[in-house]
Amino acid sequence: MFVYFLRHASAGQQKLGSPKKDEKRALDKDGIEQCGYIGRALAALGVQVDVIISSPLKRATQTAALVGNEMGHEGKLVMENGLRPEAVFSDFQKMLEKYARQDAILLVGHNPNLREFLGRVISDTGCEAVVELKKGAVAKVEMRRNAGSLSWCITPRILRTLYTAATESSRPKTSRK
Amino acid sequence: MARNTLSSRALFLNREESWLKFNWRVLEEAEDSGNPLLERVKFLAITASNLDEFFEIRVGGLLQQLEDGHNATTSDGLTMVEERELINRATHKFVDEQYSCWNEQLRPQLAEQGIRVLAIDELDDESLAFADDYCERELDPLLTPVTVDPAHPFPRVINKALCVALLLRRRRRSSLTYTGVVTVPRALPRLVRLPGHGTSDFIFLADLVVRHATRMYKGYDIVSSAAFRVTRNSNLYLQEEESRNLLESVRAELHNRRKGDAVRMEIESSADTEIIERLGTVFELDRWQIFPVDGPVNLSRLMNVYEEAARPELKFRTFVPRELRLTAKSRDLFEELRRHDVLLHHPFDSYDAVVSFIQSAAEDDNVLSIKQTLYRTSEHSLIVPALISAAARKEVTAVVELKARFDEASNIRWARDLEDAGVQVFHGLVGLKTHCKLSLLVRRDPDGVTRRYAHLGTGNYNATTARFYTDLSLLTADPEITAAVQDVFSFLTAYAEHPNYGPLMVAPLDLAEKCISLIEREAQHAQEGRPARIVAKINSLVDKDVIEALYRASQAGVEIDLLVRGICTLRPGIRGISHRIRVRSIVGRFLEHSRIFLFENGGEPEVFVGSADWMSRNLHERVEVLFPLKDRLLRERVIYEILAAYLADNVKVRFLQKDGRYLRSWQSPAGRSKRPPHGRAAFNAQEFLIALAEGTRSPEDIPAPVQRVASRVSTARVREEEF
Repeated sequence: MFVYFLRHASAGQQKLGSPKKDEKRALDKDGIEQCGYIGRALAALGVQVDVIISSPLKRATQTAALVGNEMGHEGKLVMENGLRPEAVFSDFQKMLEKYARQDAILLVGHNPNLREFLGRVISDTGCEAVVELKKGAVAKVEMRRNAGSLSWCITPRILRTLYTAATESSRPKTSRK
Repeated sequence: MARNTLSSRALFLNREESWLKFNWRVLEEAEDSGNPLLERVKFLAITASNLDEFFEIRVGGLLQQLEDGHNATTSDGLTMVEERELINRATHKFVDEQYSCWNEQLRPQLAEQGIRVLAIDELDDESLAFADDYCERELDPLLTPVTVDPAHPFPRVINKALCVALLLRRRRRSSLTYTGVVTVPRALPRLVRLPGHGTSDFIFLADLVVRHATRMYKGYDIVSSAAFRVTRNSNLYLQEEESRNLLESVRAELHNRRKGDAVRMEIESSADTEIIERLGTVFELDRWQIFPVDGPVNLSRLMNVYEEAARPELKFRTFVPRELRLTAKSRDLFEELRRHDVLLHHPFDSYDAVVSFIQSAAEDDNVLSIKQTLYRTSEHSLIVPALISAAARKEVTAVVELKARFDEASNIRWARDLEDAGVQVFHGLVGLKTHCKLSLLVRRDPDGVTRRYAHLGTGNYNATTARFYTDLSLLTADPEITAAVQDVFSFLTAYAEHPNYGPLMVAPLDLAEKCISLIEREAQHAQEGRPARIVAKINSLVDKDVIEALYRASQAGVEIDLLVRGICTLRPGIRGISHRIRVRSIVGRFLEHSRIFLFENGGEPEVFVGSADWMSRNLHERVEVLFPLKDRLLRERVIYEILAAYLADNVKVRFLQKDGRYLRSWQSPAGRSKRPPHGRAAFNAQEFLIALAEGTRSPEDIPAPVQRVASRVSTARVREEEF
């Protein structure tokens, strides 16, 4: 099974002192842009998943919906508490078991625990490999019997840089403006 | 008359126009006050999904060809460009009529019956509060307001997905306008149930999204907003011969289908012209491909109203299909089949018999092997689980057609599940769709003999469609037929071709030529003064060779009655060419799907039934099977009960005229209408067949066939309509 770990995209500043309100924090303009890049990249790579699973918080569900749309995914978005910011690894593992029969799934969650889940899944020594997950970044993991193996990890910034470089004109700038 | 004049373009109707006329017949049912109200809504929804498919496949394919530089001429003499113009005019007219039907007839009549589909400004305070709460809970987490600018390109618009476009202006900076887009996930229900007191109230999701958009776009004024929907070219362009793994190719191609060129856009007519212009540019659409509509952009979703309104009195009366009863002497179905063949006419005869034929085969330890073709299966098909459970104990082979259009996703899942269970899964032959519907069992019977039992049908192994499609099923243990079915399976699984598959006719091998020689044989009978008649019931008639053969047969004196539900490019009633040919289309409660062919054959009638229509794709690009009814009693049932009933229908029948128009039995070509038949004079074939299955009518009650064209030669008594 392939598991794609996607951290939600940029959603402004944390609203301290009001956790309930913070759950409804929406993606900001940068976040929407990031989702666009990641979604289009996954589509270009021909990524197809059986199901998209997200933390119930708005910034994650919006990320999941936008990225899913770019990928052409039409299934119902599934929300799981095992991806909430406060979930622990055992919650995550229990949740993952439900989807063991799928070919490929996309998970949308938060740091720091999503990074932790990813790190533990790709390490077979019981320790946690150290991986960075920027906002809007996605990592592809191929699950094997003992542990997963990390295939690749891309960030929106990498995509933006590549895209800009690829579309840059090679003509010299003649204007002095 | 010289042969080649029969291929003259004056003798053929345009195929696309003919299809659009079929959809008009369905729209007629939506406008028919004689149908129960919710059924009318269902018919309207069906015209919309039919039109979706027409644009996705036919128009998409045509535009693709034009873009590639082709401009071929069709059989009826139109160039592709002219065809596009025809489609342009006809579809816009059709859509106007659809929305007229919704706004002026169905929506108000539903409201009178306490089923209200409301606009946002028609909601009372309680419903408004409910709607806002719904938006917060269900919509808000999934919707993201995108504003289109260089950093934020237009998001992906999936085929037929609901979207809302907005014209925005920044507050306090009113010079520039921006385009906003919200894509609505398909998983959200398109019709939302509102709290109603004594009424069933609904609102379209699109209206809620538009309302919610104000809250989403903070800092902007919404100048204008409109729901829209894009239809894309959905032809699968597979390079089949090269693909190593067909399953993966179809999967990948299915994914790509959603990216096809936009072919049509439906948008609320209240949309600002600026929005329409911008969207037209984004999707590269010509003006004619844009359909401003005065109502919901996804009319096919009205099906939800039909399904959710619990008002049986506004729907067709349900009936109990006749269950198969074994004769007293038979202990089980197999013993019954050893005595005689069984013919089932669905949905009047229950489809359960077919399902239990396969289920009991799966459970019966005496059944050694099962072979099955699967073309379209519903997700809840009962047959596939039976095959999966049987795989553990016996040899099970399935030929799964992956490219059953629009059902591919379902078929792919089942193919993998079958394989995992140990079923030998074949994908049929490269380049040929497996369209035949066959089932074959090998069983060691109690008398020690090993025999074959088969099911052959005109309909797919799909319990859902079996309830509203008419189809025929033959269950048989006839050694000749079952041996031939075995040969067809070996053709499908190992490409072992046999010289012939008699008594079956198999496409693409000999079905086309055999059909034509049967038609020519009938012509011979007529010329030599013997009884000669053809009755053919099919979904579509488009194949040029078959049509020319029918023209020649008519010229030779054969009386021909064609029951063609959908597309018909043959022109009946032309003096000297086809004046002995009558074409009827029956569109009613059930979708007429069965294919039946009767040849009088000089007084020794032959009846064939099967999976093939008379279209090139059936005759030459698919594996199809036509089988004879060898049992005289079954033949007589088809001739004197089934075909006779359809030919006598004067309520749901439409007669095709030589100019391409379809007229009801009470309409004259000159345009005058009498009153539709009612009371005892009215004969609705489908309702009659229900009554027959329920035991309240009998075949003797069938009146003589209605003739529109008064023919000189007719051995049957006719009722002539006077005009």
